[in-house]
Amino acid sequence: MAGGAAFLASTAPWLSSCTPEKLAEVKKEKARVALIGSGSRGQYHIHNLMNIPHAELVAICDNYQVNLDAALTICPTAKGVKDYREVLSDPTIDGVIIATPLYNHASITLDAISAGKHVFCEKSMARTMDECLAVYNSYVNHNVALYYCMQRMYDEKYIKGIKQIKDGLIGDVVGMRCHWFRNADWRRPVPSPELERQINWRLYKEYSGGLMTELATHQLEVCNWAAGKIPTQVVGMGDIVYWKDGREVYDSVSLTYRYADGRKINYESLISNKYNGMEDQILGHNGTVDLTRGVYYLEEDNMIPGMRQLLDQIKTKAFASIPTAGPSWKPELKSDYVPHPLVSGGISVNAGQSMISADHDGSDEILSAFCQSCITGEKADDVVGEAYSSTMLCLLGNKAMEEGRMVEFPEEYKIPYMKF
Amino acid sequence: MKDIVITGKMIKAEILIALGCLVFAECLNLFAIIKYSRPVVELVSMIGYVVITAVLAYLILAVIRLVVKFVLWIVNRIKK
Ligand SMILES: NC(=O)c1ccc[n+]([C@@H]2O[C@H](COP(=O)([O-])OP(=O)(O)OC[C@H]3O[C@@H](n4cnc5c(N)ncnc54)[C@H](O)[C@@H]3O)[C@@H](O)[C@H]2O)c1
Repeated sequence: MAGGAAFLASTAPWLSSCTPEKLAEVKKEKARVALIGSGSRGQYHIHNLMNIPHAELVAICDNYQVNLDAALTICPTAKGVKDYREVLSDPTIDGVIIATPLYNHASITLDAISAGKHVFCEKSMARTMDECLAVYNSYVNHNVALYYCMQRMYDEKYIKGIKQIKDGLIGDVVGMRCHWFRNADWRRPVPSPELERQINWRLYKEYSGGLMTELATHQLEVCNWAAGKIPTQVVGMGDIVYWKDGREVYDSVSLTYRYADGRKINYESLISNKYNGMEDQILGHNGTVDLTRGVYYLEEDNMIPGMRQLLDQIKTKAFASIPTAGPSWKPELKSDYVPHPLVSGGISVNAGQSMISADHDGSDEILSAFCQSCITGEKADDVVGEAYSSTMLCLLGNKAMEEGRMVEFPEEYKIPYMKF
Repeated sequence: MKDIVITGKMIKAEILIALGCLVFAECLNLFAIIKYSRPVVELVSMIGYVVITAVLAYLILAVIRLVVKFVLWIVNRIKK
């Protein structure tokens, strides 16, 4: 995937730690890793790990026996553990993969870093801004690799899309438009009532940042990647519109993030209607890139066959006149743009409906890169900076919605990585 | 009932009109290629569009010819 140092430096610097050449150097070695948190996402990682030749899953840790047993069935050679500290004190383990609920990402990550383990943690970075900063500082002060599972950063169609945006494919980037629509309540069956919060942790503010930290975090990261900057302000509204089942987190959010130069991210998520699906759109003055589908559309599309353009023009001239409102007025309906692929050949497209993930969405690549780092000790550039930035934006978005006001990016949480 | 006789001359005329439509559609294609700076290969690759345009042109011409014939027929009857 990675070709040329200039390409890596300009588009995806984090790929320089996992080039095919570097992978070839470690092909006879294996990273000894442990999984902490073997719920749905953890089990998905187990499947991916079993297909990574330079990885060996030696231990699985979960404090919920049902999920631990399910995971050990998938990988019976791993040792089952209930307390993650046992994993951290094992000197033969190089790195840990944390797939626990958001509220304990920070504490487990901090303990793992202190224990000298390389860490791969699920998004988002942490439940609070203070925790994010604590993890960031700890990472800067320790010589271990830290990855956050922001898989779009390793997804070929996103990498190529951002490269083409930076090369001027759609002209100046003038805005971003992202949404994630689903029609599902996010609930999981609970075997007994006292396990409600443990199993449905996503629905309670103490454990989760709701739609922002579960979904928006991926998409805000992509916007910042395309913009090369971090927004300075956010306004938004959040409500529980449909799933009034005792949950505390919003089931409908709508926010606007504003960059210092006036560009905006319009973000929307709703989990009671799935018509619009998931889209990460980067809008340029010459065209639009839809990274989710791996396609772009041009405002003046010279790539459409000439005959088709001509017939379209004749059709528009013949049928699009609006006699009632005079010739100067024409409704600006969404035009019939022709999609052009960003990547040649078949690509995997995530429709956004799965709770766990889609095939080949970059999750396997980032996990492989982490295992490579466990062997080489090389940190992946910018992954932590990107995760920190997008998580902070999610938490600030939640703050803006809860307080019903515009929130500025706080000075005390700015890190050197960020450009505003 | 009267037999409808389609003469060789009529068939030849229809074939010529159809061919004319095809040439006209291909000329449109050539015009579009020049206008939108498209590759010359579209002369061949857009043959589907060309054929459909030709069929449409033929049908439009057929309607016009029918209308003209009908008007002429009425005019002749009035003259008589
Ligand atoms: N990157 C992605 O696209 C993506 C997709 C889905 C989920 N996720 C993330 O993965 C994480 C897990 O999500 P999930 O859906 O698998 O949740 P889950 O509830 O299915 O699994 C979490 C597991 O962690 C275990 N756990 C909790 N505290 C623990 C502790 N202290 N020690 C050991 N185990 C502990 C739980 O018992 C449970 O089995 C979340 O952070 C979520 O946001 C990321």
